[in-house]
Amino acid sequence: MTVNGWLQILFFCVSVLVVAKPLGVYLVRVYDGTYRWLAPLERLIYRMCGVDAHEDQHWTRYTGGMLTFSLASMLLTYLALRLQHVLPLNPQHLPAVLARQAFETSASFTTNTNWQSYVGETTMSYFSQMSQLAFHNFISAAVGMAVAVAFVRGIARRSAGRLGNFWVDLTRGTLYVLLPFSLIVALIFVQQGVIQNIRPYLEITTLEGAKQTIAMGPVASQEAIKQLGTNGGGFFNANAAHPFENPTPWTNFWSMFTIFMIPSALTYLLGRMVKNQKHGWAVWAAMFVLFFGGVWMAYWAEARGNPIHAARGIDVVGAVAGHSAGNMEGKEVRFGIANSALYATVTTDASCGAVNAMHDSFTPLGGLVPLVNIQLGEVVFGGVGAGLYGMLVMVVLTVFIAGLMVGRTPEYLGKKIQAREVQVAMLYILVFPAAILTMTAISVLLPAGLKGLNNAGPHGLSEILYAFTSTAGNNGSAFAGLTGTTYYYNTMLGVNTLIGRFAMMVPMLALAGFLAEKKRVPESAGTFPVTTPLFVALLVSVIIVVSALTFFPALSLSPVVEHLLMNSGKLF
Amino acid sequence: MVDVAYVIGTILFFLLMLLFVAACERLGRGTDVERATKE
Repeated sequence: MTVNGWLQILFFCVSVLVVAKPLGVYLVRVYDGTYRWLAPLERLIYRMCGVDAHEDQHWTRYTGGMLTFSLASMLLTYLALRLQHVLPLNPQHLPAVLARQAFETSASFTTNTNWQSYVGETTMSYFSQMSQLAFHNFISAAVGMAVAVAFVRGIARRSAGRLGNFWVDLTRGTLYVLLPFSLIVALIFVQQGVIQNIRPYLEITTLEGAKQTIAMGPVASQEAIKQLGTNGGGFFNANAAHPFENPTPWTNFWSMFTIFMIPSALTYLLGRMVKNQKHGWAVWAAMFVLFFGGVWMAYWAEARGNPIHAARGIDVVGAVAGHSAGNMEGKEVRFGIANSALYATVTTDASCGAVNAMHDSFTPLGGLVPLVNIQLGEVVFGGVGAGLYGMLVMVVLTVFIAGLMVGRTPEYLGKKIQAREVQVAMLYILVFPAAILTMTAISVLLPAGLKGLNNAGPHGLSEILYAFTSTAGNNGSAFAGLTGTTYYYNTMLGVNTLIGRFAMMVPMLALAGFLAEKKRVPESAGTFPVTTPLFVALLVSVIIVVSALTFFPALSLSPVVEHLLMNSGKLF
Repeated sequence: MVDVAYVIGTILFFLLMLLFVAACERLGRGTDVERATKE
């Protein structure tokens, strides 16, 4: 680990802290309707879609709207991908996307996962990229933010289970947040050298005389929303390691910063809307503690390198300098170890899934960090919206456990947490590991599940576990090493993304609706304060304990045992 | 044929989610009634 590396990590952390308040204030004003600088366009959209913007929806209606919208947009994308060969903007004359890949891709992009079993530059036409995938990048992120804001309203209000208007929240999130910020970020990317065109691919002759095809495309515009909306689906197969997607250290910084920008600001929105700003900062602090722990662990493991390389004299640079050069396998030299470890932590904390290095090539403990980050429930800043509502469910559980400790009915910001709230919170928490562990177990037992595996032993298990963790967590990053282009994996992973998104959103919105029905009671001596360092410590502990109890057996059979075997000289 | 299977499967999944919404709502009402009876 170097001072230079830590200074860059520190600069990133300060940037994420500084943006929370100004952007948080902006988000509050957007969602409460006081800041509508595109009001005529917003009204036109409502009129065209037949939306009654003044309707305050019950949580069941809000959830129904979200589900039907997601179904319709997913089916539309499936159709467009299957008909890509007859649609415009296809200068490479790419054929229709395979049915199984069209299903997986449409499910994956609808759920903000963006798991990609295809090679973007040889599978998707410009029309598919721009009209379908980019559309979902905006809309799935806006759905996540809408649901998070609805959850916060549930805590803040007493409104007979009413959470606002899904269509209004969806429109405002897209119109006032995602579109303008994406435009700014896309221009920054173009200035830094990210390409933006719709030309046919270039055919060039290399210095050795070989023919090479250089893929082109509208990359900057897709890259901006891919990061800002924590989507992560790369225009190119190499994702953010590709020099046309992420050419400079500055684009690398902006890529990471835009991933955390909105999730960080949403904690400020929480504090402002529930009229307890200290609580918003306490939630931010809990997220930051978990984030920093992950960065430290990943950076330490990768900087330490592989002891087998050092023992065999492969680590030449390190041997000359008198210390390990670290593990540079699968990393871009222009980013180095610090920025690769930081990127891997950010992208898996935030359910983004973009990658600038191969997670599969990380050391076992370095690879453990992205895996655990997702298994924590994507609550460490998390996906836009998804991170905040996931964290708030953990807050409810923390308050409930604290209540049990002192023997009083737990309260959260003046709302009593009773049986039905805990029941739906537990449904939310159980769906996630049930999907991951069940599907992983099925896959290691079936020949179809083992067929795509390229590594044996614990590393192979890590690859399957990571695939189902990433899709259920709506992250989308891949450990690689697993051939996912089979009927089995395309279908199973597609279904897993749907379960990880919607089967968790439903109980979470139910919890918000139940909380919205309750009146607020004044704080008493028995109320557990949710603004103190003790609360932050308890919240972090609950998240770690829930995750550790659930996933530790599987992790001990994969990266943990692989680390021990690596130290004894065996690699997979 | 494969297309039909994927499309119908997707629609069935979302219908299941709508049933899940109804079940959660019933769970909430059921617990309310139980609590009111006890009180």
